[in-house]
Amino acid sequence: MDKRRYNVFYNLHTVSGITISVVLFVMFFAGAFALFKDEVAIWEKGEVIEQQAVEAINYDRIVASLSSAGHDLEGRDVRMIMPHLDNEVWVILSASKVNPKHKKTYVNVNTVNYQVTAYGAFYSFGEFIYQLHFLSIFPYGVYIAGFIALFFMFAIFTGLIIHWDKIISNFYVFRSKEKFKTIWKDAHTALAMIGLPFQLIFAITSCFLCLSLFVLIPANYFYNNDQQKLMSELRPRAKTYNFENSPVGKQEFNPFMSDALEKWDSFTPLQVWIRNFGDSSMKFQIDGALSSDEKLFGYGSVVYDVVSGKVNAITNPFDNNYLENIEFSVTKLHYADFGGYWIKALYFLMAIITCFVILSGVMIWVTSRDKKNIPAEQKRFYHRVAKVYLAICLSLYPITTFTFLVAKVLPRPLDPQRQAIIYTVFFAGWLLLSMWFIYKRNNKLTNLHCLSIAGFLAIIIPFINGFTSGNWFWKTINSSAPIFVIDALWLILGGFTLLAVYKLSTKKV
Amino acid sequence: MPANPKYLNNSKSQRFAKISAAVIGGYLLSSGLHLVLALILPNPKIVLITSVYTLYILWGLLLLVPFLYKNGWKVWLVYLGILCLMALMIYLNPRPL
Repeated sequence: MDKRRYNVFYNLHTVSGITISVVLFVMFFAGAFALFKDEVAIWEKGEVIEQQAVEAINYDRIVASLSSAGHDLEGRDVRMIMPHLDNEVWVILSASKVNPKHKKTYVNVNTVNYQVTAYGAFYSFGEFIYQLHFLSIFPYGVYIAGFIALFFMFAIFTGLIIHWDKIISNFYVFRSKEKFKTIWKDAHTALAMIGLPFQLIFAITSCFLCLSLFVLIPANYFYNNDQQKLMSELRPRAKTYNFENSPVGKQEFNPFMSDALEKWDSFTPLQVWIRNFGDSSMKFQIDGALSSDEKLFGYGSVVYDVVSGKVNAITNPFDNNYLENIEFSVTKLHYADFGGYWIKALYFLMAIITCFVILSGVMIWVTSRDKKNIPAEQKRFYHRVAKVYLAICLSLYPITTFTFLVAKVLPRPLDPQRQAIIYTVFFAGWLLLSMWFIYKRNNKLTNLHCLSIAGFLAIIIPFINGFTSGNWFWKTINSSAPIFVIDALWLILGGFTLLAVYKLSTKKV
Repeated sequence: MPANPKYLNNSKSQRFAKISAAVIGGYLLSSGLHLVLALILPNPKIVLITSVYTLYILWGLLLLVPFLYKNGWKVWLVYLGILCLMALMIYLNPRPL
């Protein structure tokens, strides 16, 4: 490649990388834990749940419970998202088309006792880390996250360009005995190469998940701003139906579900809609998928016309339906929702590796500026920036571990204050820790202390869980996979972290 | 090693031209191309739904292009030319409504 372009792209890779580094680190770190968001919620509650089959859910009882809990369903779209690991259906009631006083609401309905509880009554740390992951707890955070993802793609492409000529030869180079600069450089390039497919998946899918607006602009022009037509053609599952405003009496929904479940083997509902409730245009819509073992992208759906009892629209999950499966593939790839816990463990590992690639990039940036021809004042500035970056990024690990513990031991009567407590502990603790390490001005100490605190806390998490809830990991391995997975995650993570601490503190540099 | 500064252009107006061409121009070209393809190809639905991936990939690749050249304003000129061409094609192929 010609020298000018090489240097230009080298500079762009550095500048874009340094600009997004801290936020990208937070997103990947939080994202690694967000993969286990639902498991974390169950782990925190500490209830060993015997999960009911979603096929056995009684929709007539859900409707009756919602009505007796004081929710007038007339003229609403009732969207029921099936439970993933527990027995709580998440119900989203749209604003009513009949009575404008009935605004959009969210509730949970239990599928064992059909009790209705307010949505978000239990604010889990899993939910917090998930929202932190795409910055949705900050104003405009989702858009910021989207653009960070776009510039992450840019950093991947520029990194690939400057590394292209040495891509194979450098992959096998690891000069761990040499200077720090070469260690960072070799680790950065080798690990980034290994993580390349994974990182590219995330850069692209996150763009869509956070910046879907930008896909909708050309599509909107194409459909002449006819949102309803756009939705019904491009996302048939989100199709809405004209409201006739002619009420019909009480209807039964369970027979439709039994009929749909008989159509295809291994078809499981993901969400169920009752659209235009109580109207003559009422529809019962089942969106679901085949199990991932059967077909990776096997999205299917049936829509019934409730009054006539006839099938209104059908998508066979065994057919390769490009339109429906494209969007389905984005979420499946992003949430590692296709291969059980081993895939999630791999995603977790790759996310942590990416965190390391980001930090080693910052370290290359600062060590490569440690040269005689750079003025001392400027050098000090670079070092200070690197110290602040490291302090902020590395203290994220101990504070996550600590907040995890706090979320576990918070007593249930404090449930209404959970969100405030988690926010305070996490952000105040993060701020204090970062300030402390910035004040100490010693990268080695920052690294060692962060890892020791986090490693120690991580190891005791499963034991605190055992003492407080009796869910010891040797029991939950047989009785509750979600609880066991979280304990095992912390044990393994803590073990490796303490090993790293041991190696670091015995090494003489 | 840091990039050799003798190859870098530090003019503020050039920087502005290149970055705006990359981010804004890149998006306009990417979305424009997808719109043109949706209008001229027989199956617009497939094009629009595929853009869930390709719109961003193309945008990401187009972020690189302005930096290949020395003059960012010339890049904008070429981009505007392509955009006019796309606008003409959009105008000549009315929406199937």
